[in-house]
Amino acid sequence: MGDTLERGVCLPRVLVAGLGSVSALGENTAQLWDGLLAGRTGIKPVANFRQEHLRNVLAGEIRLSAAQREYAERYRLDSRIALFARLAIDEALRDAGWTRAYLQKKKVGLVLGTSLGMSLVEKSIDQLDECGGEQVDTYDDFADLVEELADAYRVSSEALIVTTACAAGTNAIGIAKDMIRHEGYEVVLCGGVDTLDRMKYLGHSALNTLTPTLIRPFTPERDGTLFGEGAGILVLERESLARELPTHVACAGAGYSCDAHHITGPDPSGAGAVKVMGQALEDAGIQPQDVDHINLHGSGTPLNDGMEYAAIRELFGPAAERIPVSSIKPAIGHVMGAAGALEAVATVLSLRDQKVPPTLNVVAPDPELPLNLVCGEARVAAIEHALSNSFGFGGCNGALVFSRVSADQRTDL
Amino acid sequence: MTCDILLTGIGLLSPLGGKESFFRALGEGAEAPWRTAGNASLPPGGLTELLGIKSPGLQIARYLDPLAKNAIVALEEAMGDAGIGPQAVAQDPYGFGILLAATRGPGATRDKAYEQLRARQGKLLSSTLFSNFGYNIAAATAAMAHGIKGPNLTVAGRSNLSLLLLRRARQLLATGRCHTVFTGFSESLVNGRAARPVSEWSCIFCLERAERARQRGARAGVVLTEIELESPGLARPRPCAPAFRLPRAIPQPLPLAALAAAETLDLDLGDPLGIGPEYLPLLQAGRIKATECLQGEKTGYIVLPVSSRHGLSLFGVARA
Repeated sequence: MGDTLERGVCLPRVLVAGLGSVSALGENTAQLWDGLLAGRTGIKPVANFRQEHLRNVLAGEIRLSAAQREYAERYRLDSRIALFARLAIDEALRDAGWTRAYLQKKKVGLVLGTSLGMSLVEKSIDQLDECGGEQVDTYDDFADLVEELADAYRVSSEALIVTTACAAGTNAIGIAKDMIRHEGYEVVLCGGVDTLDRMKYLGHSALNTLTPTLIRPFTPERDGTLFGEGAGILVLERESLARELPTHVACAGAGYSCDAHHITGPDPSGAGAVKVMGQALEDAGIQPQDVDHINLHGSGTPLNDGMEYAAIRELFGPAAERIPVSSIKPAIGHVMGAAGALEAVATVLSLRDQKVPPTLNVVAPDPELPLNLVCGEARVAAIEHALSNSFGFGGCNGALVFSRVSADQRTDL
Repeated sequence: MTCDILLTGIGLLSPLGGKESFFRALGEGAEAPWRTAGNASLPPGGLTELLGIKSPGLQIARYLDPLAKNAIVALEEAMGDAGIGPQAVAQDPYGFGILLAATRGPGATRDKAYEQLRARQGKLLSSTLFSNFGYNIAAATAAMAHGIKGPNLTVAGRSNLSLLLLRRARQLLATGRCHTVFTGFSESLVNGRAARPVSEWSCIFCLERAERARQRGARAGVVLTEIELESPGLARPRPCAPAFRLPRAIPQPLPLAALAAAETLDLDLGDPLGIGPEYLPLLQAGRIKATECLQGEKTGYIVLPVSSRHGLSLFGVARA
């Protein structure tokens, strides 16, 4: 992967400088990654809202720790969405080695994805039941959220919420990458954040998207998904700012498309998914045969998995059966607007450590969907380029390509 | 990132009607009586019902939030205004994208769902209503109605959102994600939040890569040239910034009649929706003229200075 030439201009490479996450598997990225590699699950019965009349009471819910509560109190945060976002951003900035003061000297942007956020519940770090009182502030105005976060990190330029359902986190990272590559931004904080609440679980119960059991992606028994909450944050930066490390991971490509097919169901042909993956590969300047790992959308619904398989088969041909693929949703739940961002975090770590986490709850993959599904235990793999897919309600699709960059490939533009 | 972008079409659905009636009403100094009264005086179906609009695009689903209906109709008008027929989209569906802003999303559907849930004693939520909860519902249904399969993004931001929206649209075009992007707002008030100074609006622009627009012989209105976004405190000195001495401040809520007579405007609005792209038609109609400063420099640009609580932004356009 080299720098891209556009109209004779050499475009800067975009590196992942820092990672941050909060998920059902832990308070930080190390806990998330350790849990994923060890095959642990963060799925448990919900405790933050009432369980009555739900199709399934299991979820990737986050039980706030004493430290997280103390953080919320210190910064006077009264909502889970702001709390998760700030915890993950703080960790990502620490990981990148940036201070807020240093960031103030740079051209910095903020792009976060979320789906419904806390639009259905009151601002609260504990009370997550449905509400609907005429004058209740349900935090439904995303302008408030983006303002709160931009002010907290003194983001001087663009601060943006991307709300493309379950593709939001992936789309946000794609936009952030292009801001650095094409628009002169030096650092962009990007990713996704989302929360669970009873209204969402009632809605997905009604839609039958919730499995009555567990998420079992790409198996014959797959019958739905379970949801989770949390945040995944990437600090993207221009290559010229990067620290001296033996290896970096670059955010190399992104794609966007829309099925224009159905409000909640994917186009079964997978045409939009083929397009979005192809666009991400083209953006990264690589071919399908260069891809060594795919972090699947892998939601475990019959329609989504079938569509994703059809699309991968169409784009990669018989090689689809060679590429190690995995879904982390069985471990942390489908984190909606943050799903793509947490999956991007896992993909970056797969590139760093050359390991693919296992897909939980899979005894035998569906022979009708023959992919090289990693299950049982983590697998060591040589990975130079990896793809991460997200497909959301409304037919919104997103894909990202991440690539390893060794020190001798650095251009330091 | 360099790319010449043309504005080739506008679609508008407002309390004053579509684009033509909106302009006519502006000229007459009319104000919509329900503009500051929330949407309580709007029928349940919203503007499309009030204005009696029948569009085949509205038949794509059994239930649509007013915000989605308005976007479908406004996008159809923008396509027509730009001379882009359904056939052109069908031949190249991934060449067209949609980028909408929606800070509050489908509030009418949320309210309806709460009402229904209370009636059902918290036991059951309608799957139809839940399917329409997403903030991206307007962009998604507009894509379904018109067969648009390129990038489909919905964004929210601070009070500089409309400028930011145009910048993201420019990014999609300049990076070759698509050659045409329909961008704008679809927003509506929800019951109980009538204090906001806007009612239902959908305003969508057709922006195209210049070479594509010229190739198909499009009638170009204006060229999108530059969008700057800075915040106070961090804003780097900009040579022409001090020259923007604005003649008068416009009080909130901004009377539409004031826009009709305005030459330059200080749009110092606190509301995130206040700086809406609805002002672009004024530029196109030549109602907002170049400042003396820029005329003196013979730049040829028509510039709309916009100040918000997040700093001065310059949204510049030039006649094609």
